[in-house]
Amino acid sequence: MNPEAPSRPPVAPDRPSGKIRLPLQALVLAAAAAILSIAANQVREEPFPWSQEWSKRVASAAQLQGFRTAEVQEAQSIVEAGTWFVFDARSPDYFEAGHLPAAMSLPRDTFDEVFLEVGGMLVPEQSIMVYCSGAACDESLDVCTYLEAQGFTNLVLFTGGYDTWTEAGLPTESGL
Amino acid sequence: MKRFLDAVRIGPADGSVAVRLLRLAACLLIGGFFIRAALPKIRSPKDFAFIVFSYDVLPDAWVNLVAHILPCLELVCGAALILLPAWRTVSALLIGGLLVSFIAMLVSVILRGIEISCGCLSVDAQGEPIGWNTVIRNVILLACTLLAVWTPRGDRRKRIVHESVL
Repeated sequence: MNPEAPSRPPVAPDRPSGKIRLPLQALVLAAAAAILSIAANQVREEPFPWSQEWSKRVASAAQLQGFRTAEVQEAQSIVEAGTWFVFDARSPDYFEAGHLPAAMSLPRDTFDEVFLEVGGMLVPEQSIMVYCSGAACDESLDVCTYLEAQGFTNLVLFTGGYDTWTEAGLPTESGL
Repeated sequence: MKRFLDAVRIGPADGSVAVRLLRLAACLLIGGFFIRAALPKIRSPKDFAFIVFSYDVLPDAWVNLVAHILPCLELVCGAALILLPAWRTVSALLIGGLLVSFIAMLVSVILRGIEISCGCLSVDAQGEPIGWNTVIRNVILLACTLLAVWTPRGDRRKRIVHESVL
């Protein structure tokens, strides 16, 4: 062997160095997650949208179903009129902690049982307003749908719900 | 036992058998938990998106995006932690980052007095409510994640050599 022979040039590493390996691996895992989420959404019977206006979700759905919606000023007028039935669609615990004046509890999850008790007081033309926690809750929309199926025609959904009512500084009641 | 640990190749082949067993248990626990947590969310993105929205920490436009990608990231990281020894460190780091952000969001929800479902292992809106016990569970999971990548001081050099040949 010739001692004067030039040494072999360094071989380029075939693996990324430790400093860049972790960020590269993190990127690969994130990309895999993104691809998996796209693929999973493609195979769904009803693909779920990648973006939507959550704050207006219930109001939009209510309008699509043909229900009239009310903002807080109209809800206040309805409550003060005293001729409407106002139903709270939240669970009894929330109702007991606080609800709109003169409202009655009609929880979505026990609608069938509770409606047996209160339904006898109502006629199909009765004006009814329904609300739940806030702009994103589903319960009031579901209760409106159930009431419509029972034949009630004058339904109003207070989309802002209890949160908007209290934020406006309007009076509330507590207890069952 | 050492042969078994070499055969399953979970974790670097350094450290005592006891340390490797501990890491194996931590990897299986965390990886299994994240895979289990991801599946119902991937099945029902709409229900999970409602829970994400209920946390009230993201703008509307981000809610569905997070509801789509977060469960898949949980699944990928959980699977990588268990199945890919060479990806164990990065998956543990990502899982640790997710757990830290989960803890921050849970504490934020508790301090703001919002009463909602955790959305940790199910997407039931009436499911497990958020409380300090949920926060403590996530802190324990974070500790287990650190354990999964923990190497005793004397074994660090051997671990670097081992990972470089995997």
